[in-house]
Amino acid sequence: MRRILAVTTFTFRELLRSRLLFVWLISVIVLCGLDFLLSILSFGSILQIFMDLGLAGMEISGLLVLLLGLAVTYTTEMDQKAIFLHLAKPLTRGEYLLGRILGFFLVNCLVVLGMGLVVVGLVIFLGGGTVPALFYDCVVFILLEMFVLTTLGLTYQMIATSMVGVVLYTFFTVFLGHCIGEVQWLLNQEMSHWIKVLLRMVYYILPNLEAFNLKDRLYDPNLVLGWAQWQDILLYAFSYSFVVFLIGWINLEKREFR
Amino acid sequence: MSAPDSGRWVTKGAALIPVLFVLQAYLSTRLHEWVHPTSFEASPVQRMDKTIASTLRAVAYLTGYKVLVGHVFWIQIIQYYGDDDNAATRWSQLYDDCSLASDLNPQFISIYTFGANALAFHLKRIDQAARLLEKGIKANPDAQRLKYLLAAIGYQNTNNDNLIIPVLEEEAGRPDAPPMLFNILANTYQRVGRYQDSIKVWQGVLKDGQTDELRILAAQKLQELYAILKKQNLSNH
Amino acid sequence: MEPTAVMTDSPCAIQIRGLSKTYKTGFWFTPKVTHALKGVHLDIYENQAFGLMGLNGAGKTTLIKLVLALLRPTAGSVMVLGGSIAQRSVRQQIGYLPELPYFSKQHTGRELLEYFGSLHGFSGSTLQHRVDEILELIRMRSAAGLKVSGYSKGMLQRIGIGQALIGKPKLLICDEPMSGLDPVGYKEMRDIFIDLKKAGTTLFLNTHILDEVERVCDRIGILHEGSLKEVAPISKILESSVPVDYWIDVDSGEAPKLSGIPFQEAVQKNGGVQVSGLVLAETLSLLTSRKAQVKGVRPLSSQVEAYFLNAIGAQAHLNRPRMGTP
Ligand SMILES: Nc1ncnc2c1ncn2[C@@H]1O[C@H](COP(=O)(O)OP(=O)(O)OP(=O)(O)O)[C@@H](O)[C@H]1O
Ligand SMILES: [Mg+2]
Repeated sequence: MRRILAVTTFTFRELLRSRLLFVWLISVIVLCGLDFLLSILSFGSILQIFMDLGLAGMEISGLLVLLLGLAVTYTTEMDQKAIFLHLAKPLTRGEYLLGRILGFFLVNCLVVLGMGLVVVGLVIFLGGGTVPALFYDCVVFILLEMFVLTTLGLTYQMIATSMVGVVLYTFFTVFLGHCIGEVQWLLNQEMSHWIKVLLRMVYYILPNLEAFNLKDRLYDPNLVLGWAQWQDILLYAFSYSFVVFLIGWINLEKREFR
Repeated sequence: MSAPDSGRWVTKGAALIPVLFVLQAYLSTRLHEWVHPTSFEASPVQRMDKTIASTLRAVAYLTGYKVLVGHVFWIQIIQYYGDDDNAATRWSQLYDDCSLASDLNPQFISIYTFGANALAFHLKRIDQAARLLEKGIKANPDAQRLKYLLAAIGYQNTNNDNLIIPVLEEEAGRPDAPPMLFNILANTYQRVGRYQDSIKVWQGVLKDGQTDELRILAAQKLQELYAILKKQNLSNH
Repeated sequence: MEPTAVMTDSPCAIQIRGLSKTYKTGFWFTPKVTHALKGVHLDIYENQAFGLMGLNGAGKTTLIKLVLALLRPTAGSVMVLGGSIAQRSVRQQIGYLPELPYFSKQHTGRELLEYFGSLHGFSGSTLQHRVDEILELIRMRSAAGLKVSGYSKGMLQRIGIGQALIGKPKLLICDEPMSGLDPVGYKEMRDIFIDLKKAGTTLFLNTHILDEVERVCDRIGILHEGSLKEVAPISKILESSVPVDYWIDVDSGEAPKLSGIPFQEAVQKNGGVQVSGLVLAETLSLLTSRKAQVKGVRPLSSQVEAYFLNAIGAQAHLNRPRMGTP
């Protein structure tokens, strides 16, 4: 446990010092500017717009930090072989991977929650309103999504053979993970049996990111979010992450470091 | 945590992956039903035509930024519609634009109120206004405002201004009332002969109007109304 | 040579049996295969320093990576400290310095050592104390607070050695430990190795520097093109009679007197002759009889170098690079 924590702090510090928080700063500036502009331009439910923009901004800045972090660390750890030093130490490869995932996630939390604070501030002070309770649920959902994606990204880092590969795989997983509803729709259409089997595999392998997309359903009158749903979503986030982590670990265990 | 040779047993633990995989696949399907309680009649991709806006809508669906892109459309609508230069071109598309924006963001009431007000009272396209409002009411059964508006539009058809006025008054009393609503309200007052009320509305526009054009319009209208009142007073005496 | 022929009482720190490694590179259409190691048998005894020598591309780094399980062997097996390297308890007792130690650049030297120390189980004041000790040992006290991105190559190498030593390893594996060090650092490092050896640490060094081998190592192995050519204790090599070449210096004015000297390997215009050690005495007496003024005689290579070159059958290499010496 202490060793995992050591890797986590090491990764966290590395990412922070790689100036990744600039992403946060830029996102905050863009968001404040947009909100200010909109408060002049638009009328009608301005608070709703502030909140929706803020939530989207939180997710996008989290994703950006993840992608940039993956790119930066791939260069040092894999291309320049800094990973040798970790793996030769009394540290199992699973501990190494988990520590890195947690370090990345910590940075992500910092960025997402930091943005969240700014959004709440904007709603209260620029918009003069209050934040509904569902907003906080949304934030937790975004964090869960980030956790799943962080696990995936770092697992890709253990499998892929180039930095571009890691970034592209992660990016496309985000994109396709949100398309999963469309895949389900496609499955209900008439088409060849084999394509259906293929689609079904894609459907089950990809993370169901739409499940974490509470921000698009913030005002949905049909939304039910009780303890049962929370249980499902938490269990899903962690079971998916765990499978991915296991795959990453096994790959790391088998990987050769030439 | 500190098994002596964790590498060896985790490689054997790969057998666990299918089990966990089935679990997460099951949860994913269950969550799918929660996310999309009623399955699509048609995929947004299928509904895509050749316009850029429609493509953008499809992308928004696919990337999970429906609400965000919906707001972008909304800002576009009020931009285009606030500008008289677009009267010939863009105003004709108002219904389509509103329906796109409300597809993405069906719970954003302002799209329906703005669209219906503009379509019905300004552009005199009663059909389209009614259709937009019906869509809004379906998506937001609790929104009383939309029902009032729909009723007002019905009265519009009967050309009975006295029935429309209360709805317009309520709409104009809201903080997010679109500017041209005052225009419509004042003109309706004028039509039914309530010149004093009309003057009050225009005075408000003259004081708080957002653009110069609006204030100039208000000043002109006030002059016109004062002239009418003066004539009335003269003929009364 | 069969390594078990060397008699020792010490148990094995590293036991390598039939180790082979084949790299497959290239794309589907142009597959390329490199046999980096071909069935290596090697025992490294505890409390000894072992030096592995070999030309560039001989397979030294490959061997070390296989020992550390950073690569998987194509065939053969490795035992480390009586167990498998996959065990945490085994890795706990190992220090490793890679060929090009590279660290994530955003940390200071001190933070890196603290991190690696905590992986070895140190914490709190023990950790701080140990880090201070190491910084003192590698002479990096003043630069410890600087970010690694601002370090020179030698400073990186020092931190690399520091992280290898931080866990008080029983077995230290170094891939070219001297590369990038200045002459002072070179000497310091040699002293560190000698001290470690005295304290009972087993050393496994990959090196090109023959001087280091001679002064630090107890046994050497010579790897050539993936096969272990020779393994022998250094004492045996120093006693052995592998011929060493000598250089005989004469005044430049007397150069004509050198012509026609038998057994010579090379002659230089400004005066001097290279002869094999086997005929040194005869040549000198011949020169005396010719009344040539001999300014000095010096060996052109050490005993170890000669042994090394002899073992890889590369005697020819010796002449060419030496042509330019004044
Ligand atoms: N990643 C790799 N892919 C393919 N071939 C490799 C790889 N690494 C090394 N080789 C090959 O394996 C052989 C041995 O390489 P190795 O790095 O072990 O040599 P070395 O003895 O350490 O050399 P040096 O003294 O230059 O460090 C070489 O022929 C090299 O071409
Ligand atoms: Mg090497």
